[in-house]
Amino acid sequence: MIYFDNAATTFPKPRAVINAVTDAMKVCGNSGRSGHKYALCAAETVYNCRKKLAELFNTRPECVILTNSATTALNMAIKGTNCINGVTVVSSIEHNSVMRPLNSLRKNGDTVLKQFLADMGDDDITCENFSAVSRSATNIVVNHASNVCGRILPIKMLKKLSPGDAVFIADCSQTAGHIPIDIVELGVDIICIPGHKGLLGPMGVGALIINPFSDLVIDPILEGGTGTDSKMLEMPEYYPERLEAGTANIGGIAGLSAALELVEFSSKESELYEYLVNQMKNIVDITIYGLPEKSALSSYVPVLLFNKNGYDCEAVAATLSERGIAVRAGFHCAPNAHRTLGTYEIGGVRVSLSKFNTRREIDRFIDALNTV
Amino acid sequence: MKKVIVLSSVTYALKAQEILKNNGIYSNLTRSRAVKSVRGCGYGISFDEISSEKAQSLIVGAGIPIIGSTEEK
Repeated sequence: MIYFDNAATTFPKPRAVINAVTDAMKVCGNSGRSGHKYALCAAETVYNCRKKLAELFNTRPECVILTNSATTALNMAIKGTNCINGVTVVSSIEHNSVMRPLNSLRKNGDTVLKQFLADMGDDDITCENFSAVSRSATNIVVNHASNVCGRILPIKMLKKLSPGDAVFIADCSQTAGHIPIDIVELGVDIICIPGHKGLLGPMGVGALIINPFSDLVIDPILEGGTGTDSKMLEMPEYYPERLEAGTANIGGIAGLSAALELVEFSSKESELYEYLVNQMKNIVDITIYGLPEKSALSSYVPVLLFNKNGYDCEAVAATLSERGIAVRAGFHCAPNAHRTLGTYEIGGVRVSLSKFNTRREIDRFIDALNTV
Repeated sequence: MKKVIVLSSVTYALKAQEILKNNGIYSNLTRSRAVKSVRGCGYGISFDEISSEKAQSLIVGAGIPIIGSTEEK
């Protein structure tokens, strides 16, 4: 099977990751709960992962909150920083992991929601659109790159344009592991990441990462045991324990820790993506969305949305699957992104690459597509 | 005699232990009675008391909050 669904989760997982997960199950107790060797082994496993993430994203280990997914991290960030009578600004290409928690807050009267149009060809226009709605913003949540079309948004520029006291959350679900991310350089308060996509870790682990220079207080949305301050009825004030109630996913964290050893930002993915876009451009009955064929490809992670003219996207994906090629069709949990791209009614077929793919696989995909 | 520095979390305890190790001070993570007397459930690091001044200075310098300190045999 040719696997082109890496924006959902990367596959295959590296052998070192699989081994780390199973090894952790054999030697780890519950992290932060006791002083015996199994508990300490787990604590060291968790700390090592925290430290590696801190180094990768340029923060301190205690500013890395381990979660079970980017969705959990985004819910924690959005709901834990929402202020009374707040105004939240989002881009027009957000995922439901952002839009659904925000819609709940909006329905309860806990925030006013404003949206700016993310321009697929011109970052300056995106910035102008952002400035038009962000003056009264108390909270800003922006997708670093679209999970539908791969376009990277100019987060650093948007942060500079935002009100100084607004909480800025970046959803880095599609960029973590694909491009270098420095939270201090971006200037945002929080980034949320999954462990199982570009970082190549197992499912069931993600992180909320806090800027080391931020004095942001994030209220927990989940409360429970932390292994410390057990006589207190409130969650601790310090991170990461403040936001980490309950037993951690030690196997997943061990797997992510092993995966982080493999992170490298080579040009392979972008070269493959360029090759894919160039091959797709030559097919006459294909419509590509998000303008990668007309833009600098450095503005994209390796995700491409297309439709074969006159064919239903799900039928195209099913046919490709029958021919041994895994892609994802539909709306990709991001209806607003599809509205922005003009595919709200019909959906689209998404191809998403990883460094494990090859040009030969792309050639086979193009051949298959030509004969659908 | 061992010095025990009590820290707010296992994360800070491991971070402190690493900083001390990088500076030639070897310590152990502990949930001993000494920690319990200061914090209830919590973690500390214990090390030879001869390194006490330097160790505290390194930990404070790294921005790690010290909850308390005590001694144990």
